[in-house]
Amino acid sequence: MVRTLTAYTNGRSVLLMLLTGVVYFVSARLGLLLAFEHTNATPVWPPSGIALAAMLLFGHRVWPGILLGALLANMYVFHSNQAAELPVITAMSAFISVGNTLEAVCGWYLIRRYIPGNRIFVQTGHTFIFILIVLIACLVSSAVGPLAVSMAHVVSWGDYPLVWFTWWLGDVTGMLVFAPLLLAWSKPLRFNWSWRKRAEVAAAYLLVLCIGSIVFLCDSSSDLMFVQPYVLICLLVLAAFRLPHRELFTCLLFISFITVWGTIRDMGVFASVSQHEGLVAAQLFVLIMAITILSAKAAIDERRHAVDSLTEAHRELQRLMAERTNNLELSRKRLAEQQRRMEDLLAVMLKNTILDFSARAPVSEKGDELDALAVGLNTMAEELESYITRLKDSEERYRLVVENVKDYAIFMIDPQGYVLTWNEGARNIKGYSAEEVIGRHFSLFYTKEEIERNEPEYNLKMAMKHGRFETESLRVKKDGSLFFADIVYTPLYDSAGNLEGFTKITRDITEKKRAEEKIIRLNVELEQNIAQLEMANKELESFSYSVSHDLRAPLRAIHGYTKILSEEHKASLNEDARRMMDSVMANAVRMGKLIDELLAFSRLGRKELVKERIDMEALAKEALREVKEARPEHKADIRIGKLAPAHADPALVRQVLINLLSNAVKFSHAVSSPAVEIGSYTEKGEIVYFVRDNGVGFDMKYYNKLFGVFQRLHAREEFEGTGVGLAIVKRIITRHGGRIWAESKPGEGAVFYFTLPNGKAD
Amino acid sequence: MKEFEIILVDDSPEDTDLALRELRKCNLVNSIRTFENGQQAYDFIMEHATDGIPRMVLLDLNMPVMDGLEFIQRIKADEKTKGIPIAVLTSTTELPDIKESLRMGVKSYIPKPIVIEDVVKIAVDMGYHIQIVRKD
Repeated sequence: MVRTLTAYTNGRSVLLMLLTGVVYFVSARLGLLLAFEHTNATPVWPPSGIALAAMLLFGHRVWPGILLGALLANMYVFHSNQAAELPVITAMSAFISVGNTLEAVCGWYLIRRYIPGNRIFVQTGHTFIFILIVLIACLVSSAVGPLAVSMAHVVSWGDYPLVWFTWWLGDVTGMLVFAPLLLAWSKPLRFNWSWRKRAEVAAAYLLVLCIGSIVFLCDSSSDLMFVQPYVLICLLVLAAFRLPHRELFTCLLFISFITVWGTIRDMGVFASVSQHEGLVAAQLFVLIMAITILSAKAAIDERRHAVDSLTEAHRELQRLMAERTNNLELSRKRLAEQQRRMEDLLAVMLKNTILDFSARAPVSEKGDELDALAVGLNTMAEELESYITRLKDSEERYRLVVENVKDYAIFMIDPQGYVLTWNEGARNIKGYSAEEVIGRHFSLFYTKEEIERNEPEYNLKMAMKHGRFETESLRVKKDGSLFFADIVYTPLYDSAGNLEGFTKITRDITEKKRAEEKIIRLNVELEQNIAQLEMANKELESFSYSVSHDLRAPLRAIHGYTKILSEEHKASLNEDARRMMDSVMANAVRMGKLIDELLAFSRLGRKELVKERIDMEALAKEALREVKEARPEHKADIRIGKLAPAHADPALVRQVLINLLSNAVKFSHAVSSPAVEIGSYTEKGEIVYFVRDNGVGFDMKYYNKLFGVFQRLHAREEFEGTGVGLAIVKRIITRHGGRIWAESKPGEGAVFYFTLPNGKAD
Repeated sequence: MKEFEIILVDDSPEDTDLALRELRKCNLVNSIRTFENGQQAYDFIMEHATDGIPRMVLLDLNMPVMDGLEFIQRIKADEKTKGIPIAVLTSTTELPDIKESLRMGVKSYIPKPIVIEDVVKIAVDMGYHIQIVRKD
């Protein structure tokens, strides 16, 4: 309720409502001028169409305007005509206006209910429904109105059917003429027409007005008068084909107006005795015209719309077809081009299959799969071409190499053993030329005995079993002579694993065999010699041992008794005898020493070398300590430099160092400031140890005697010693596989160098 | 055999003579019995050895019939005699044999020619109380 009130307080709604009321009132007033005998039943009733249009355009809320307009118009007309007392007039008018309002509401409701949207007059079906709704809605008003006036005795009940029909006809005609017209004009005006269109509309208006005037405003006595309305129908139907709704409905209004106007003025085709009858006839004409035009227009529009849709669909179809055709054409062209490119590629592939890799597939700028394929194909062909070239070169080189090998017979035989190839070496070794031997069986090269033993077949079988077979055996040359051969058989298989044949490489090893035999013979002899030598050596050593031992016993006796003589019989000896006794003893001692050293020297040969890593500096210090103990009187400045470690027998190397240091100290004893140095250096990857002194030195022309046993370069009176020390040193160094040498000049000192192999390994 | 406290075995009569002459310098000389080879010494010891007797054997190695090493081996093999102290008489020529004898259980050696001080020193090392009385 509140909502409804709020809706009515909306200014625009009220305004529309009032506008509707005023328009309704005015048009009702005009319509009622033509009412039937003060009954307010008029055959011309535009308000019914105005009310329906207002409801449809502005909404159902305008109904109070309609009610008010209708009430006031009826009351005013009844009152002017003095049809009845005021209360009756008021009651009648109230009934009638309620009927009018209900008529509009009913029409509005049914249209809204059964015709979707606002497109009432463009579809035949909707137009027919509209007409039907109008016919039904007007029953409401025509049911209420005549009943009211009849009950008020304004008309007699006998006139009731006429009044009812007039009422209904007026409402229907008003609705069918004015509602479509107002709805059409309510749409926004558009004047984008061509001149032709405008001329056509103007011509239509003119024609309708003229013919309408002729039909309805001329003298009714004309003979052809009754025909003329049909001309108007024909004209309007034609107009329906050409004019838009608004102009067409305007034409209908013109005709309707002229018809009513002419009939009222007793002119035209419907002029008759009674103005009311004439008006009813005229309104019927208008009604028929309106129904015809509405239907025709809807049918025409529908058809045109269908044609337009069809045309549009057709155009769309054509456009699509054109597009498709175009696409198809493009596809066809593309396909044709791709086929051409595929053919190019196939041509290249075909060449490749016959191992011709010179051809290249064309590559377009497109960069598609075919191009990728072409590039791939080209790369493959290039690589294969270069590979085949290399392979051919390599094969050619290999063939040349094989053919020109002179020291090896290299040839191929087929799986059955028939010679296939022959090289220079084969010719040299076996004596056959290629022409003589190719095609012959390889058992040709075997001796009779070997052929009888099935040696050729056995050799091939072994080669197949092991992948390779090597043998050393006697073979036959072309001239029948034999040679000792080293032969290698290798089976050859193709990629499928089928045996293709064998390669046979033969080398003449007769000379080698002879040399080997000689070496073996020499080795045996050598071994025998060595054994003999070793035996001799052992005998010698055991001899020298027993000699030494046996020599010592008499020496001890000589020394012992001489000593007793010189001590216990001192008194009975004169000075000269005593001196001779001393000499005998000294010599016995010295001889003992000589024997000891000789024994030590010979023992060196027997001793096993026990090699280990030696810290040479520590060993030198130890040796020096011993030398100093043995020679406490020495005054030499002895320096031990950097000494590389060695890998040798420590006891023996110690002896070497003792002997060399002892010599150095001994022979430098006489000089004013004796100096001895021991050190090492690396030369050509070899470690060289040295012992240097600034002593008396020696003359290099006696160098060959330097390392000899019992060889002395100095007088014994000058420097004591047995002459075995350096011989022992040399023997030890030599046994280690090293070298020893010395450099000196008389009076300028001496340097002794030695090396120990394996020393560098550490 | 109390008086034979030391046995000297050497095939060389000169060496034996010189040894006796040396030993004669002190009061030990009457306690020494000499043999020419290992066999004789061995036979004697087997026959006469008693507990603690002989006190010491001075043994040359290189001898005919039975050499020093065999003698040591036999003495050491017998339970009765294996405790007898043996000192090997050496010359510098017999180094390997000396080593062998040491390996067989000999504890001392005396270099030839025998000097009385060496003998006394070894005897003292063996635990004997010996006093040398020099005659000269």
